[in-house]
Amino acid sequence: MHMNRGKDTCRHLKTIRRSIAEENGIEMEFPECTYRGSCAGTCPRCEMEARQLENELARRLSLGKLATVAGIALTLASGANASTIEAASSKMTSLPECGFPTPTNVVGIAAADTGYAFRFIVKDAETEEALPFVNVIVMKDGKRVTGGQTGFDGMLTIAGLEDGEYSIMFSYVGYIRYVQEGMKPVLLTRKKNVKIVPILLRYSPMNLTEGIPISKETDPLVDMESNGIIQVKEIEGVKVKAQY
Amino acid sequence: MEEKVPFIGISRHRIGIDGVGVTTLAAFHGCPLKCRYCLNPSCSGPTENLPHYTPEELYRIVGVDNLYFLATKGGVCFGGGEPLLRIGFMEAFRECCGRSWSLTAETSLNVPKKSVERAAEVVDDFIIDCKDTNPDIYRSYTGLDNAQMLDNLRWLLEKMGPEHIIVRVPSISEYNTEADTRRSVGLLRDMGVAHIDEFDYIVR
Repeated sequence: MHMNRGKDTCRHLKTIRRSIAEENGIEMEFPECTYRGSCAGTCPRCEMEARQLENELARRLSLGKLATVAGIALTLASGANASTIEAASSKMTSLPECGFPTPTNVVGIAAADTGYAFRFIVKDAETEEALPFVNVIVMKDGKRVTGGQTGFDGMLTIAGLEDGEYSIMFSYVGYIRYVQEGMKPVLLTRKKNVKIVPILLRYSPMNLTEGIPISKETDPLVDMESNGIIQVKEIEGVKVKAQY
Repeated sequence: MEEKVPFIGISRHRIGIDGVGVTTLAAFHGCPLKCRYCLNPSCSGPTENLPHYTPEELYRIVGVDNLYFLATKGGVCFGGGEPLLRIGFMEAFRECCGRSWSLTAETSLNVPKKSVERAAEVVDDFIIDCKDTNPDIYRSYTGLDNAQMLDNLRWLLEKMGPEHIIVRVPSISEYNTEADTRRSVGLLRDMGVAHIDEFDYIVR
């Protein structure tokens, strides 16, 4: 991606976050990015700021306070967590709620102390920074059993499971989706701590779609250099550039 | 809707590109056209290695930018490929996101009229790549006739109003000339199109 364009996107998004915080009287630090390398427009730090802001808005709502974005009042969806805040005034009331999957817990602390459990810490494979709000889906025999999101510390405990083998999928926008097969949970007892399983996700700013082979020359949709403005395609030896 | 459909890509944070505000482009696999200079040829390739999502799954994925959408009146732009081939998916997606997100469709409009009628109920704005209004040029470039597209465009203008429609008119190397694009622009203006985006396929 063109470095300056990515930086521009980053600045725009940070301005939006700052504006939302100011609109709601939320005191948050939005330090300027000092990274000089190639920028995809967002990064784990930017994502964390957005999640923190969502959390703070959700917290205000849970306390009965008003939270607004661009003047529109927000509400919490049923079974909500920080990511399920939505615009209240413009929701189609006749349509069913979908919402995000209800997390086992939001902050990565064990939600139950019975049965079998997994405990994960999800990190960036390169920087080893903990990744908050990674979506985790626990499946058995191809069916979803439960799910959750990692907390700020990148950790998530999923308890209350039955014994057996599970497939667990970790997904986070901007990272390559990872599925761990054949995982066995640990039976919780008062004397036994649950082993923390480290999961490393690989950052892939050029591949936001998890697993699609991306070539800068062959898939202009995700050609970050184009940012949708200039699209490039190699066809029969002729390079064509469409400028919108 | 439980059916998973294939996507060729999802691109976040497209500011001011696919409509108002911050948008995420979700591009479907599948297209009726066979454009010589197809910009996303993977939309016509095999689907085995593509991600498949239900509307609910896609909603969860793109929902990571919910705050940005709400703050800028942005949302999701469905492209491809031809998004109107997946009108059922778009309807179910609208049920998920409600009216708080803006939905845009980047379409050729070369689809059955019924699909356009359904899309008009769930999509806020349309970006239409008309290629060329000359049927011979259109057929030569895409392999299909453009009568259906023009008929759908007339209906959509009446239904949605010109303020919700952008028509893109490309200058296509080896296929149309400046005079051809001028004729297309003139015809579109006569039809009532208010927003026309002329651009070039630049051949290197």
